[in-house]
Amino acid sequence: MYIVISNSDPTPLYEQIKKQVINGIIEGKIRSGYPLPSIRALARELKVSVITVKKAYEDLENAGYIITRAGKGSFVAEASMEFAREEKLKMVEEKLTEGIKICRELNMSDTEIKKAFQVILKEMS
Amino acid sequence: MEQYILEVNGLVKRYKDFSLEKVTFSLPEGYIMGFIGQNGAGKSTTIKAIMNLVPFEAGDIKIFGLDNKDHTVELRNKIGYVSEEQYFYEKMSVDWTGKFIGSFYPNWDQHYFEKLLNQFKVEKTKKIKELSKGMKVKLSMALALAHHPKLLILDEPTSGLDPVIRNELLELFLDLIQDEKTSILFSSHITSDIEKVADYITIINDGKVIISEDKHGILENWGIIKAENSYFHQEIANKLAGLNKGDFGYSGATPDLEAFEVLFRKIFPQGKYLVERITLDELLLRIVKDSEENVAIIS
Amino acid sequence: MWQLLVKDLIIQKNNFPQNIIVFVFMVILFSLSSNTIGIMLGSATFIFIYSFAMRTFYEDDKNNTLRLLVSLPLKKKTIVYARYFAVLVVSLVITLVFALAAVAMKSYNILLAPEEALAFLYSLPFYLSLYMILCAVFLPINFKLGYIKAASINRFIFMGFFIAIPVMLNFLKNLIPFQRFQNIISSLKNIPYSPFIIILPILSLIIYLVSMVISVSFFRRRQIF
Repeated sequence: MYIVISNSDPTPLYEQIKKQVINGIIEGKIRSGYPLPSIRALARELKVSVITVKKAYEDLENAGYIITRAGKGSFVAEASMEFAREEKLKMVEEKLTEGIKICRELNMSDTEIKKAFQVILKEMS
Repeated sequence: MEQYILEVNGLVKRYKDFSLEKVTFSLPEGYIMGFIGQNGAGKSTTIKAIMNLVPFEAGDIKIFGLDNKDHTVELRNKIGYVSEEQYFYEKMSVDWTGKFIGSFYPNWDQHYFEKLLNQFKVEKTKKIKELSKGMKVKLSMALALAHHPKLLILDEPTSGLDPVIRNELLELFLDLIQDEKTSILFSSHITSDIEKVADYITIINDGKVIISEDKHGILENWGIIKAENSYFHQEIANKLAGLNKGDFGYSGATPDLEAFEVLFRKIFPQGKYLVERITLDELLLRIVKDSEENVAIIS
Repeated sequence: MWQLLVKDLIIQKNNFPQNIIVFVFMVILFSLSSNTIGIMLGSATFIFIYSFAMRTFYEDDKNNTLRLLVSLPLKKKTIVYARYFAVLVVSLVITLVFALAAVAMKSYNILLAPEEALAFLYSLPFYLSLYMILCAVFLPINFKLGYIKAASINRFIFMGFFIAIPVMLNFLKNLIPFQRFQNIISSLKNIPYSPFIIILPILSLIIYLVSMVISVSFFRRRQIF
């Protein structure tokens, strides 16, 4: 797994770490049972403070993406894929809503929207 | 339950024109604490009190659970200390200095010391008086690390160093805490260094600790508020640190974004304001501004 | 503690030639005013001891290394002990060197007449005792005030000592009737030499140790930062 963080990105560092782990799960780069680097090792790697990574891991654990076993480290949780899928579905919903909103702003009718959608589907198949 | 490596409790130290007033903070094992404040805010004095180099009037300091006055020698064997300025026998060599200082530490690791000198590119054969300020700091770091201390106390270690070596040093700090047993307290007025690697932040101003908590507590709860002057209200202003009022709008730092939202809505249900992420630098500036104007937002 | 002692010696090894020059200069100066070469040599040995003791403080003051020393894992009193020990060791070594020189001069009849060399040899324990007592005065002042402030005071005492003794003797001579003075001198001369050679150094050592204890308490209270 590859995590990059950017200091110029206004998103807090721990949010950046969280997002990338979730993306890794969604994209299937890391699967359930995959061991995550230890908090300290990742902090060292990213040159950020331990507490930043700890915060990201805690949030990931609370959201059910990873589990932490005392003395063994953190692993991608079994149900992580489902959470990730849910998360992704939410994203789909958001993007579609956004697209439809723009369509409405352009005063497109529902039929026109559906048509446009079908065109895109055809193009991408 | 977290174990504290360093506990400073109600430290009082009085000088004619300056005093530390009940300085209190603690550093958990395995973490880095950044100690921020302006020059003259009391960072060095606090650190010297921790090292039992200056006497103090009240309070107590515990290191590894032991009183620092009663166990000075024992504790210093486990502490690596780099002072604000470096004091060496100028006409002696780096090599001699290492052997001399090393001879006082039972667990001195000469091999590691030489490795560090290599890494820092400090020449062993050079005389101390031939070293630049940066080189002396690096030598001090090597001297402080070579007995594998479990607590590093560094007084402005990065000042006077170029950005490259500063970065190397910060990476070294992160390396050192990998064992979960080594803890670091380092003071700096370069807040970006601290923001990068510190887990806990203690801000001191005019001899008083203003904030001491974990970095995320600060960076998440605090925020910079910006709003138009039409949404200005004294009650709001009272809750903002380092209030800055211009012709069109005002800005200030709030220690609690949620509480601020509640307050703002109460006064201006339809009002608008902007929230910006706070940086330690900005936080420090706002705190200093308040103290100079004698307003205290944070008690 | 040993490291501190060795450090004091090593740091000053370069000053040794300089001390020899001063020593030679003093010898020439004294030989102009005094006719007893033994006394002159004995007095000049103090140059080495005084210069060594003062230099150790000078180095720590110049480099501000007391700040380094007090932050090391050692007790403050150890720093004081080591300094006293170093001065004592240097004094003993110098006395020994001069004693050997006196023996050599006596046996080979060089530089000094045999009886003068012998007188010089016998006077050495007295000088050593005297210098220990002088150091017992100098060292606490240094530990209390630091080199810069202490140096002027010490120089004053140092000079004063060499001026004051003859003046005092003169003063005593005038105060006490000449006959009684002669009696005191002759009674002193009648006391056998051997007890003195033991008692005086022991006495001075005790004074030296008392001075060390005083220095420890001075140094403990001294603000170094």
